Amino acid sequence: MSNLLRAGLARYLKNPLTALVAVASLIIGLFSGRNAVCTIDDVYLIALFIAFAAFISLFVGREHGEGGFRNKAVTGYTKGQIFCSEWLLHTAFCLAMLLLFLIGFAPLAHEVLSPVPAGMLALITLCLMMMTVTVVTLLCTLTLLVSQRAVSAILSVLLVVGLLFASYAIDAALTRPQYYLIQHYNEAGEFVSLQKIEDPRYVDGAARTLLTHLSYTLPLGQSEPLLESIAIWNYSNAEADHDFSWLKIIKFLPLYSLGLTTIIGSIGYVIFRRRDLK
Amino acid sequence: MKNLLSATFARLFKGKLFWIGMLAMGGLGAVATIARARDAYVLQDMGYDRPDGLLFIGLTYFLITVAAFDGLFIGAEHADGTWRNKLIVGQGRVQIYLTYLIVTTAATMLMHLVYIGVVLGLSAPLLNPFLTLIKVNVVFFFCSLATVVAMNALMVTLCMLIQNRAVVAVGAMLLAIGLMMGGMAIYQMLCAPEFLSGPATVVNGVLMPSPEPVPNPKYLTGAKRAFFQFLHEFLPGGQAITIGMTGELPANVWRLPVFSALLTLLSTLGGAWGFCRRDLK
Repeated sequence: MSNLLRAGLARYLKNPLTALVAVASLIIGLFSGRNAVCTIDDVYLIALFIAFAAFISLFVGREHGEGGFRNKAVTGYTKGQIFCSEWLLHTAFCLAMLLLFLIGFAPLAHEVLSPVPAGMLALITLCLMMMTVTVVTLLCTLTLLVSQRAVSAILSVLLVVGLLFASYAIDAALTRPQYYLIQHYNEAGEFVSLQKIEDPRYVDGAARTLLTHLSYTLPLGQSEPLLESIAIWNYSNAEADHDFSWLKIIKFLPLYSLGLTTIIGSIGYVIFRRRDLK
Repeated sequence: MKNLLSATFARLFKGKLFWIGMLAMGGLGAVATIARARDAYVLQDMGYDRPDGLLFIGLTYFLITVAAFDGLFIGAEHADGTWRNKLIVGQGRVQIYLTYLIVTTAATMLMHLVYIGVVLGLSAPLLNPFLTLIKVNVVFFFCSLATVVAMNALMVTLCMLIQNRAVVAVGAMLLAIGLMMGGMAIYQMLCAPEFLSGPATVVNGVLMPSPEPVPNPKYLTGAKRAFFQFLHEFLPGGQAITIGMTGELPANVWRLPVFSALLTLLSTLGGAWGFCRRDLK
């Protein structure tokens, strides 16, 4: 498999698309750092993941289109080895691009990052790395299983946008208040009373637990606790004001990422091995 | 050109892509209306019982549908060498370009109409009538048609000028997302309040007054505001937000279709010019 990796590495480094996506990652990081107030806006992470989607779908699609996978299979490599080599290469490249994003982000966001303890920053970086690995696994599996290059490219971008909408929908359901406050005024416009009405859509019990775990499992659902854990150190100087509940959560986020990566990667591996390479 | 049009329309209706697009937009309309009806059922007397705001909200996401459809439909012609064949049999490049523009415009328009039809069809039995004036909805309807034409013209230009099918698909999706996010960012910049005040608080059931407001440094003024206002009205992403999310007619609503027409004209002229000079492999 080392030959597959070496050949893939050479192919990726020679292609101008790699340099283009690397520069895009750096620019997204620079914009993110320049506009950082209290925390990072997750829209920059989404832009980064969309760049990953374009990168992975175009490279894997090219291998499909030019018969690269079939040639590798003909020369004696198993489909499992081909799957693993593609996954490893894309993971390595996307982690390098995440690093470029952080290199662009960190110096400009120094004011936002300086109140955050070093251990916490290391943990957040680990979470971001694991989130990247999960996104790469999802994209790799999709592009390896859909052989039509243009279709897989569109589906990859739609997958990232879909993950974003799913995360926002779950977040909206979880942050919906249990009660509505309705203010009543008299004819003179003076405040009279405050009425508390329970929202029947409030998610409670087992459904809330399930949605919470689902939110932490989805890569873009993790962005909220991660970014919030940066923000809490910037809200106030008084340590007593900090909401440390996020900090307890983010310790477990890499495990959620690892779980999803293992499940999706295994499914992709099994299906790809059974597929007929055209 | 008549032959080109009939052949391309035949391909459109025979292929799955168009019907997937119709299903996606119809499904989006159905989900949005049923979700509103569910809210109206569980939250009675809270103002969720009307379809206001649903009719054109699909337009804000429609850019992605147009990008995916145009990228795959036109991209397939690149890959199959169909354009070269059409040139060999004597068809002009401008004719080929206009054929794709007309066919994809008709297809995307139908998808948009399906969304509106499903929302109207489902909201009639499930929800109460619109509070928004009919005049407002009618004006927005015609503006939305112009926006769809402009969105499509922009995507067709991109798709006709790039040879690689996968790159076309990715490029169209990136353009769509860029226009959507750009439109949203500009709208938020324009909506920033001139003054900022702290939140009102309730202490022991009594509403306390807010702190004194202070000027917002992010509030846009002068030439900068005029420039971003122009971008908001000119680009399809901004137009989709104005039509889909504001719910009231802007002061110069006539500018929306005029800018759409201008964008359609410019992108078509530019696209046709570029396509005439391209080497078709």
